[in-house]
Amino acid sequence: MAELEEQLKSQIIESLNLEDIEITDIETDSALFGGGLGLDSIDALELIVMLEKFHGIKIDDPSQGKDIFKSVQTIADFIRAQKA
Amino acid sequence: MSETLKIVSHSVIRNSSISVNGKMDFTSGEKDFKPFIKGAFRHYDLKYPKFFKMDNLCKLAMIGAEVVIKHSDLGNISKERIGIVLLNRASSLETDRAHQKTIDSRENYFPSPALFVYTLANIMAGEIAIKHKFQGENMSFVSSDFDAELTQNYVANLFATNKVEACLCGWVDFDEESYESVQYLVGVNKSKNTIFDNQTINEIYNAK
Repeated sequence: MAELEEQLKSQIIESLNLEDIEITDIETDSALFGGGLGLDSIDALELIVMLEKFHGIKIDDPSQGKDIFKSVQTIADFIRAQKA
Repeated sequence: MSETLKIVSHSVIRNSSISVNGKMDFTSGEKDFKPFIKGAFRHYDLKYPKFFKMDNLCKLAMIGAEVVIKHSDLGNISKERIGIVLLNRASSLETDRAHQKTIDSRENYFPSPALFVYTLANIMAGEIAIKHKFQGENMSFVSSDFDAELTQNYVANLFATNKVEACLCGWVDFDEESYESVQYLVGVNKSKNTIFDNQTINEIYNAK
């Protein structure tokens, strides 16, 4: 069950070039934005691309991103819901 | 006014080495740019996570600027009165190519926003301005060769028209693992410092 979450953490680190961050540094339930990762609006766009590239899910309405990208958990829940 | 302009401090980055005011400040056994510049970032203990998101051109510009600024006394000059004037040959070509690869194929069409924002040469000056909160004139030229006269004329005019009180200037070029940064801070009436003229700029550039 947690495999997807771990995979997402790895993809986030790679996609956003979080050079100093390890998978273990990202809490599954912690806020991705406004927290210690220092993510910005460009990163939000990059997460949308990441979702499409690695998971084949296209977000047509970027305003959905606010809820989807709250945390690794919310991304994973969204992916599972889309693939159910 | 140009006779009172002085080069307060300068840095040169090439061949895996960084010199400041003519003295070696950092050198690395890494021949490749990425490990070299990462080593420099760690060496100067910059603590600026955004650095890792930058393209190679901006990383080069950022480190070159950092060491110049660190060795310059900006006194009470307002950040609004500090300009940045940079010059290079390859513009943002390396990142332009990388971006092109992400949109070449219809089947694998994933343009990266984080990459796309670096497909303009003037972002190197922008990144420095953001980090140091410099809000003065900000200009990037593209020129086939290092051009001391172009920079000298433009920057002298900025001072003459009272647009800036200090200006970070230089040549920052990156293309296919070939890289070079020669940056210097120009200020007024720093009597101990070197005069800001074409000869001095060329001497800094040509120093081994």
